[in-house]
Amino acid sequence: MSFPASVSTLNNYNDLYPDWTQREVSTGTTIMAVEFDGGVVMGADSRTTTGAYIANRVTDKLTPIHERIFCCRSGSAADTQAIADAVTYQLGFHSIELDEAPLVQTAASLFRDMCYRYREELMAGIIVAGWDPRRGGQVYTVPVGGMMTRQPVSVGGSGSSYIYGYVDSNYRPAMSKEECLKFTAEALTLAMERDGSSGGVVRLAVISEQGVERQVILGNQLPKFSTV
Amino acid sequence: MSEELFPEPEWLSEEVKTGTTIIAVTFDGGVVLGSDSRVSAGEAVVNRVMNKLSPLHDKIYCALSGSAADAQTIAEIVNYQLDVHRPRTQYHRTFNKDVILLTSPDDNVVVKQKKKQHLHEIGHILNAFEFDKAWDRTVLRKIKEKVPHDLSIEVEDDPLVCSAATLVKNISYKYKEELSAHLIVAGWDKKKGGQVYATLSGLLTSQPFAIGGSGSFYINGFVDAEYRKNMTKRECQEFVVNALTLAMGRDGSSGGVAYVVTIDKDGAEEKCVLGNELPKFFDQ
Repeated sequence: MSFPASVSTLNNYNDLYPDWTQREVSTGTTIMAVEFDGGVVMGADSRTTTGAYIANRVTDKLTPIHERIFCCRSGSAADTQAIADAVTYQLGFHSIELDEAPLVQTAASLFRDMCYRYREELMAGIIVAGWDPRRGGQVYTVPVGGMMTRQPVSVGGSGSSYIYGYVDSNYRPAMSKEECLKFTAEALTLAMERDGSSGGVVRLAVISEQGVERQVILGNQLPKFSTV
Repeated sequence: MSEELFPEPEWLSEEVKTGTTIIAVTFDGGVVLGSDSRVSAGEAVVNRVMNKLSPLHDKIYCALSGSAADAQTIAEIVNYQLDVHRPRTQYHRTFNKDVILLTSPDDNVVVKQKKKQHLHEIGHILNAFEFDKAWDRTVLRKIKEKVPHDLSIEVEDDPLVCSAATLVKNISYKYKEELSAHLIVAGWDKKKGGQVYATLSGLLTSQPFAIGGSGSFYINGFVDAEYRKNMTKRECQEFVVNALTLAMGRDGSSGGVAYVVTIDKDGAEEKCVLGNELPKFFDQ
C-alpha cells in the first residue's frame, strides 16, 4: 500500500490516516522457555500489534525450525519470520548432510550468526529451544544485538520485564514437566496482564524425545491472580 | 586543553535520581513500607545507603522515587504542613494554598467550600488554620473552640493518611510539568487503619499495596502473584523484603540495603536489612 505524500512526516499523528497504517508490525510480546529433565517447555502469548491496532490476536509465535527444535520470536514480525525461514533452510540442509538430527546448539548458532551480522538492520529477540539426543533439553537465548547464551530458564519480549521477579523467585532446578507447564502458563499470564503489547491466548509446546506436544490455553482458562 | 585529555565525568552534570524500588503493603492493623538504598547520577552511585522512607508524621511515612531533589522537597513541604498537627498551637502568616479552611456557619466568616462533609470524608480538611489572609486572632480562636467531634478539624489529633496523601498529590499535580517524582504515602490512622496511597504524577488512589520506581517493573508479576489479602505483619514484612531483593537483583538503579518501616497503632518501627541478610533466589 502506498500513501500520498501529504501524509505528515513531522508529526506522526495524523487524523486522516489511522495509527496502524503508519506503524511497523511488531510482536511486542512475552515469550518463555524452561528446561526440564528430558525436554523443554516453551510458551508465548498470541498478540501482534501495529501501533495500537492488534493485527493478529491468535498469532503463533512458536515456530518449528526442525523436528525437535522450535524458536520463540519477539521483536519485528517481519524480521523474525525472515530469519526463521532462513535458518530453517540452512538447518534442513545441514541435517541432510549430517544424516542425523541437528543439535539445538547448531540452530542457536545459526540464529546468532544472522542476528549478529545484521544487527544494525534487524530488531529480533529469539529464544531457541529443543531436544537432541546428545544433550537432552536445552534453551538458548539470542536477544537483540546477537549474543547467545544457554540458560535453564529464559524470558523475552516486552512483557518479560514484568515477570523477572516472579521467575527468579519461583524457578527451581529439576522441576517436572507438569510443574514447568504450570510455571510457564502462570508467568505468561502475569505478563499479559501487565503488558499492553502482550495478550490473547497462551500457546505452549513441550519438546522431548517422544516429539512435540502443543497446547493452547484460552483466555477464560488462564490462571487467575486477583488483587481485588 | 586539559578538558580534552581528562573529560569531566558524566556524573558531575547528570541529575541525581533515585532510580529505585519502593513498595508499600497494607495488613490488618497497619502498613509495611520498603525501599532500596541506591541513589545514582548517571552511572555513578552517589549514595549507597540512602533511606528513602521519609516520615511525614508519627504514623505516616512516604517512600521517595524519581528525582531525588524533587522527592525530598515534596516530602519536606508536606512534613512541615503536617507539623501543625503536633499538640502545640502555631500561627502562620502565610501558608501553602493546599490547606483548606473549614468553619461553622455561626462564625460569620466567608467560606468557599460547598460540601463540608464530602470534603471531610475524602480527606481535604486538614486543620483550621487560614492561609494568605490577614485574619485576626479572634476568628482563629473561635474556630478552634467550636470543633465539632464529627468533623476532622482536629488540631491536636493525628492527621488522616488520606489528608497527607492529598497534600502530596496537590503538590505533584500542580507542578507536574516541572517535577518528576513519585511518592507512595502510607500510614495508620484511627479512622481507617492501615492505608496505602499512590500519587503518581498527581493522581491519588488508595490500594491494598503499591509499587514504584524503576525497579518495580521487574516485580509486577511477582507481587501480582504473591499478594494475598489478610496477611499477618510478619508475612507482610517478608513479602516486602522478597520483592525488594528480586527487584534489586534485576534493576541496575536499585541496590544496596533494604529499609523496612512497619507502622501500626503503636507507632513506626524502622529496620535495615543488610545485603548479606537478604534472601537468596535462584541466580545462575
